[in-house]
Amino acid sequence: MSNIGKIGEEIAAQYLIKNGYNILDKNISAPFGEIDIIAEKNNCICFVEVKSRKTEIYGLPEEAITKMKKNKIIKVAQFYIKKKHIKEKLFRFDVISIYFNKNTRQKIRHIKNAFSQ
Amino acid sequence: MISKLLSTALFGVEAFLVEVEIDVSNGLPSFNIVGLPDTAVQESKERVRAAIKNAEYQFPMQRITVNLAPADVKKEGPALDLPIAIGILSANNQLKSFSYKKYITIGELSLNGQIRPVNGILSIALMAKKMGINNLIVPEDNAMEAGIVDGINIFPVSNLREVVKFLNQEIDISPIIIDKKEIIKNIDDYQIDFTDVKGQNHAKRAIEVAAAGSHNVIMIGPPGSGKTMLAKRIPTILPSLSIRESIEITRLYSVSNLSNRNYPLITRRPFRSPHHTISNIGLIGGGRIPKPGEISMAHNGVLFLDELPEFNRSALESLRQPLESGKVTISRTLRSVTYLSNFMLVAAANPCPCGFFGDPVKQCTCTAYQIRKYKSKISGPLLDRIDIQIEIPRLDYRELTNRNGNRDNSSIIRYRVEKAKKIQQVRFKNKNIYCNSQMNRRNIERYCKITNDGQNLLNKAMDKLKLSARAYDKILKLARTIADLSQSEDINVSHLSEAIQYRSLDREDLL
Repeated sequence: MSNIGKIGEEIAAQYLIKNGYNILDKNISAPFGEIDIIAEKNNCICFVEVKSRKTEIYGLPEEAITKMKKNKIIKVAQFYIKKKHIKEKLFRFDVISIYFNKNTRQKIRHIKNAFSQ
Repeated sequence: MISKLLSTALFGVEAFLVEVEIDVSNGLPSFNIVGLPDTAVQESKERVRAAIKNAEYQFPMQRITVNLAPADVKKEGPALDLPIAIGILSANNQLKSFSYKKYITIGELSLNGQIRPVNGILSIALMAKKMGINNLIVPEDNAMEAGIVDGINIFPVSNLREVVKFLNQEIDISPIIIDKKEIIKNIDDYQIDFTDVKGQNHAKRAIEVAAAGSHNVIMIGPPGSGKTMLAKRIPTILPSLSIRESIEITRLYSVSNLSNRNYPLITRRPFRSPHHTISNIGLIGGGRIPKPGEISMAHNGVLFLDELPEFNRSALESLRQPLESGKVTISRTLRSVTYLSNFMLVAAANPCPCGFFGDPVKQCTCTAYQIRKYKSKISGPLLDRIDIQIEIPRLDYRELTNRNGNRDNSSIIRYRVEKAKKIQQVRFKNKNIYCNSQMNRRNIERYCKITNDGQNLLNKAMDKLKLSARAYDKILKLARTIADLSQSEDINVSHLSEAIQYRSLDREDLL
C-alpha cells in the first residue's frame, strides 16, 4: 500500500517539474501531520497533497481528503511558513490525484487551489 | 490592498449606512467576514466566490478580510453580496479606483453573477437621500421602487460584469426616471360596493362616521346579518391615500417582501383580515429579528377581526397599546424595533356562541354560563378603545327586497368622508395627528366645545348610562366627526345624541 503512495508521489513530482514548478521540499512532517510536496511557481508556494488509487471502487482519490486532513495540511503549512521565514509570497493548496489503471497509463488530475483556510 | 464601499442594511423599517471594508493581503488563502454578520451574510462568501469566478474575473487566492462597519449592529440579508464582490475586485486591482463615497451599492448575487432583488429598497433610497448620497446602484427588479424617491440617481444593474464596467466608466447606465403620476394613480376597480348590502342603514351610517374619523368599530349581530359583508366594503369608502401614507405603507410591505415589483407604490388602503387562530406574534409582530405583524400590515388601513371572541385572549389584549399609540415597539434581546400601526380596527362578533341571543325570531340555545364565558373573552379595556359599537340586527323579508332603502353607493359616501377628512386635515395641521380619533385630552378640550344644551344632554347621559371618563371622551370625539360630516363648525345636540347611541355596549347588556 505504501508502495502505491510512494510511486504516486514520485509521479506527481515529475508532473510538477514538467509543468514548470520548482520542488522545494518533499514529505515535510511535523508532530501533527505531513505534506507530500511543496513546490513553487510564479512567486506562489503550493502545498500539494497527493492521493493515489488503484481502483475507483472506494471512490475517487480526491474524495479521500476529509476536513480533518485539510486542517492538518493547513497546520503543517503554517508551521513550514514560520520555520522558513517565508514572506511576501502567495500560498495555495493543491491536490494531485493519480489513478493507476492496469492496462493503460495512469491518469493525473491536478486541482489547483483545492481548499482554503 | 484595501478597498472601501458604501452599502446599507435594514433595521426594522429603517435603513442604515454600512461601510464595507475589504483587505486582500498575502497569507494562507482564507475568506473572513467580521462586523456582526448574520447567517445570510456569512453565506455570501460562497455566492461571491462563485459569482466572481463565473463572471470571468479572478478570485484572489489570498487572505481576504471583510469588515462591515459599524461593527456593533447586526447585519442581515443577502443585500451585501454585491458590495463585497465589488470590493474584492477593487482590492485586487481588477477595478479602477472610484470615489466610493458617491455610490451606495446593494444587491444579492446569484452563482452565475446575476443580481437578484432585495427587500426594503424604498427605505434604503430614502436613507440615501437623507445622507446626501446621490447615486444608488440597485438590482434591476428593484429600480422602480427606488425610483419613487426623487432627487437621487438610481442605476439599475442586472449582473456583476455590468457593475464593474459601469464603475470603470466603460459603459454608461442611464438613471431610471419614472412617471410618478402613473404609479400614484389610484385604481378604483373595487368589485364590491355598499349598495350590495341591503338594509342596515343604521350600520352604514355608523361605518361612514367611523371611516370619516378613523374610529374603531365593533359590530354585533346574529349570523348572516351582514357583518362581514359590511366590513369588506369599508376600504371602498376610505379616502384615497396621500403620498406620505403611501410611502409609509410601501416601506412596511417592502421590508416584508410583499411589494409588487412593477407597481411598487401601494396606492390602496390595506384591508387585513387575519384568521382567528393567529398568534400574538403574528398579530403584533415579532420574531428573533422582529418582523411587522398584521397590525402593521394594516397601517393606514383596516384591520378586520371577524369572530372577535374566538381570538386568543392574550392576542386581543396585546392590541390595546398599539390601538392607543398608533405604533408598536417590539423588544427582543437582539434589538428593539418600532413599527407604525395606525389602523382602523373593525371587529365583528355574535352576541353568544349560538349567535341568536336577543334575536326576535330564533331562540337562543346557549346556557347562561356559556354566554358569560363568551362575553368575558372581550375585556373592558379593549372594548373601551372601540369608539363605535353597533348592533346589526337580522333582516326581514321586506327590508331585503326593498330597492329604495340604499341610494348611496360607495363613491358618494367616499366623497362625504373625504370632505370630512379635509376639515380634519386643516384642523390638525402641524399637530402630528391626522384624524379625530387620534385626539388627546387637550385636543378634545380645544376642538370639541359643546353648547349648554349639549352639556345638559351629556350630563344626563353620563348619569343614566354610567359612562366612564374614557367613554365621555370617545363620545366627544365621535360628535366631532359627526359634526365634520355635516360640515358644521359647532357640535350641537343632534351630533351629540347620535354619538351617544353609538356606545350601545356601555348601556345595554348586549355583550
